[in-house]
Amino acid sequence: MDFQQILAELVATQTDPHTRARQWKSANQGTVIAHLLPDVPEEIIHASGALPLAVTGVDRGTSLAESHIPSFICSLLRNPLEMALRRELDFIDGMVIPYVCDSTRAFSQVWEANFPDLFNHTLWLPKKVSGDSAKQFLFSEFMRLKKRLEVFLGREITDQSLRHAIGVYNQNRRLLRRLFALRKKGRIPLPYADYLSVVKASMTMPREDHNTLLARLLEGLKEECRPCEKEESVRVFLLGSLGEPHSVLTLFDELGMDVVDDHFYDGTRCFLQDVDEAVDPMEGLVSRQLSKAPLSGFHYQDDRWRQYLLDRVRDGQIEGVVYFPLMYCDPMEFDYPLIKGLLGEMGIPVLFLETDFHSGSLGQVRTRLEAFAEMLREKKDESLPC
Amino acid sequence: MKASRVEIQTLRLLKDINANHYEAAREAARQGRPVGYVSVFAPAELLLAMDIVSVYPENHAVFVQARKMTTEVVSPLERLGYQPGLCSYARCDMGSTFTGKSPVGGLPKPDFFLTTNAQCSTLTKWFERMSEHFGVPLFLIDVPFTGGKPDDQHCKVFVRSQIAELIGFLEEITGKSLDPENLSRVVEISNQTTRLWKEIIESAMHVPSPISVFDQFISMAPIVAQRGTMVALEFYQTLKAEIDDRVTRGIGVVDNEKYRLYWDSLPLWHELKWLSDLLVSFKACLVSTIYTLPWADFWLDPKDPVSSWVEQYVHYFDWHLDRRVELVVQLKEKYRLNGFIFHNDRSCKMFSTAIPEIRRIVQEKTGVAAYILEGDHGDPRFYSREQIEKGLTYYFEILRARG
Repeated sequence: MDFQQILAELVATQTDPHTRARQWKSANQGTVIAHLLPDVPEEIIHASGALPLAVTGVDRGTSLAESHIPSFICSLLRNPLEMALRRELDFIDGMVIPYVCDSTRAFSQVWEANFPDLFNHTLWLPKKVSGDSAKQFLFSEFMRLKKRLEVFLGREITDQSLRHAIGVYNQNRRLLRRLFALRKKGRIPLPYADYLSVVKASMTMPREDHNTLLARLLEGLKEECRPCEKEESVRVFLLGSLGEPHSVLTLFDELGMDVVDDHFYDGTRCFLQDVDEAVDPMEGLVSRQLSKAPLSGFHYQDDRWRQYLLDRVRDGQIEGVVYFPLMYCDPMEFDYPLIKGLLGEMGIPVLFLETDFHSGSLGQVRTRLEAFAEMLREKKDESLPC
Repeated sequence: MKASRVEIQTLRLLKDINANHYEAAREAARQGRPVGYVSVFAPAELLLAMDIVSVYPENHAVFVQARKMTTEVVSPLERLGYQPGLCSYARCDMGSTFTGKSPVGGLPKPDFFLTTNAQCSTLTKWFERMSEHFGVPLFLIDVPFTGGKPDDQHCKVFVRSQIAELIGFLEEITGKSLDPENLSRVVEISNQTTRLWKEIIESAMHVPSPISVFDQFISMAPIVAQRGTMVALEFYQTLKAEIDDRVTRGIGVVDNEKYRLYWDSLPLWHELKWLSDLLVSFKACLVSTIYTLPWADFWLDPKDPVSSWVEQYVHYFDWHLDRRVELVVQLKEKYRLNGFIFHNDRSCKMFSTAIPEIRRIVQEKTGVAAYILEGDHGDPRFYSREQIEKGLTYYFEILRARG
């Protein structure tokens, strides 16, 4: 397979996200533990011998789900429920739902009421991310997941298997960071929409497979390396939970906006930090979770948002930010004035662009993005020396 | 015979009680007592025992809404980037604070914020923005939502250590150590008040009901904002006496009461009178609700209130789907209910997310039709009276047909 084929295969997971997991299950007589985003420690599931599978959704309506939860609940939850009600997830053995907001808190029981025969687990993530009590609690909470998986699968999760899983995932993160860095420098011809599909694919197939494919993809892409020729484009950062609908992402390239970085649950946020392999594996997982890039669902008592935004803006030479919440995301909506203010202090313009998984007509989105790109270009021209 | 509503006289005292509460808060702050903006499930007795002035932004938001100031204060807030889909309590309180337009004559400036996400996560985000606005610290009691699962020992450890941290945090703010005797005294008053509130709520078991859920909504302000004080205790003593008298004399809220209904979720604060009159016209009385129940169960162990708080945070507030279903089924028997209204509150995802599922299961278990009312607890732009009236008319036709 040449790298173009590999790329095509990875990109195809965007519209067909579960085929690989189905194949893995039947080939290995294995257990598939699905999970919602964000922040489920996939390494623990991997170490149990099961396949962790991130379920997000595809671009379509959610009429079945809406008879179970109100239509004003975000599509991060409506979509997986819709897929399950349509029996498209009939191959999964379990579901792990992270508690990050009021909707996820109540949703986990709606899920259990509808699918009582699965291994269902709600991950009680602490909202505090600093202090000893939060750290100890998270450790116990990760241990609870580990123990429940052990009972469900009838086998022990050893330190050795945890260390192995962490090694596989760290390897994946290193490879993704290389891909990210090459794109950021404008060295490889990889549109953002395709790039994000490659990253997301890591969460829907065995991580070892993704490592193999990704290494070969990087080899191939390196041969295509060329100097940056994107003087006309403006460099933007997408700050949101999921880059959906996917069709929106292609608009950025079309409109001369180079998306060099993002903050998606299944994007850059997944691979910025490794797990420390020198410490106890569960402690390593806890430390990684607590030091991750900030998220609106959590409560920060420090200036982590300011520091994070400063870093991302400098690191990517960002000229504009698109604030990209899924519709009805209360935490992100509450954080918007804060983040707009922080970016304002840095002189970075922000566009608020609320989206839903189901794209519908993109006419209005295109117009708004066009105007934003135009404004960023004018700003750039003004700042250039005569 | 036309149905009518027989008012409870004691409720008239509330106007002064509520006004005095805010005036006393301003006065105490002027005298240099520390002020905390706290959420309604904060440990009120602890704050009172430490001589802290507690201001309840949720209660304040209700006043903004009841005085019909919502549109006036939320429009400027939305211009700052806050979206209209956010909780209308948060928007009304922040809008009022940021614009300085107050329904209660203004609030004293806070020295700190305190909330727990046992209630909802919205409060954390709302208080984050407010504490940044005032440049003061925010203490969060972070409570895992366990959904009734048994393996929750670590949750109790987590909450207990945070309450210890909270006491330290408050001691630093007040510059004084917590006096256990003070706390015991406040807990004693609080427990008496809680017991009265329970009896008042449960008096609705009588047929006809001497008190409606609307009356409970109106009369809950003191137990929310002044629990542990003599003002609240005396108010509920007076209220209880009047309710007892109504029971003795067989006076119901609704003449010829025919339907005894359950109300799920928050009130429509803008529509208390209108909705109450509408229901009276159907000879329907709301007799029971989940919304006012918590304050009936806030009893604290006088010897060890911290353990009571831990238990309340980890277990009592854990209103998961199964427990909500179980509650409604129990209330049906206890209050002789023959109908259920579930308020699908656009502004409260915590309550609303599971409502379609809860309604389905409740209908299956009880065989009684339940109605989902589309509304919002504080922003009238998100529902229409016409639609509610049409929906309820249809619902009562169903109940009538099923006899």
